[in-house]
Amino acid sequence: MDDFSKLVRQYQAMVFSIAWNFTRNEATAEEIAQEVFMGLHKTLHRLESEAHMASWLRRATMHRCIDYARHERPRDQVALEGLPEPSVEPRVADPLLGDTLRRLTASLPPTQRMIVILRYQEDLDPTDIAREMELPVSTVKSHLHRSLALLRAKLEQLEVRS
Amino acid sequence: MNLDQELRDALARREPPLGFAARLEARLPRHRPVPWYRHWALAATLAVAIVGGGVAEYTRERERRMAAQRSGAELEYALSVTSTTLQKVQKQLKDTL
Repeated sequence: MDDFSKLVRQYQAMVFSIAWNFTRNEATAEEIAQEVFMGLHKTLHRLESEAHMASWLRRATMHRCIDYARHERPRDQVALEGLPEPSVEPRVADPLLGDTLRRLTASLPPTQRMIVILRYQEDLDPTDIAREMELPVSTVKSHLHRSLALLRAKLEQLEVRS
Repeated sequence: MNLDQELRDALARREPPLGFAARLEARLPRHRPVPWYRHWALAATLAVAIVGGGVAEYTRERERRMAAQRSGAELEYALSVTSTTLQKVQKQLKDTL
């Protein structure tokens, strides 16, 4: 196996998962991931270190995902404004909670969606996310806080309906 | 419910579908792009080879010319010796007759 194939095996889960959690479409996620690695193949000689490469891959995937979101049919996205904080922690016994959370995450506006993915899939802290997305740290923290409030509220609504 | 942990579990990395790497490999160009400095190294190597070849050819040509000059000088000497010898023989014949 040559060096590039080893890199693909090492990073394919990261790249594919960002795209899949963002788009919730396996074919689209694979296409995005393939394009990212084809781009890596062209620029590999310019990358200085493994850390630089991981960051490059995350950014490339993120940009392609957000470009995809700009061109896709508007989905039923949830607005962040005007949602009250839930007064009580919801009791959720839904065995499909993971799938529900993935669907709800994918319904967030693109920037907030990517912030949640980078936070919970990649375990990046707000400072790292801010650097990757070229946003102020305060903006990232604000988006994260509001996204979590929204997700909790939506879960509560689903719990009430069930 | 610990939403942070639930989100980590829900959004955890997953492997792409089987055959992902093979499909990617099929789309990659055959040859890796050559770094810019390798073009310069190749050009420099070719230049050295051309100049070196030219110098070698010039040296060979000069040696051929020198060898020809030496051959010419030797022929001239041989002819002068022959001429002198012929003159001696002619004189002896004249004296005898």
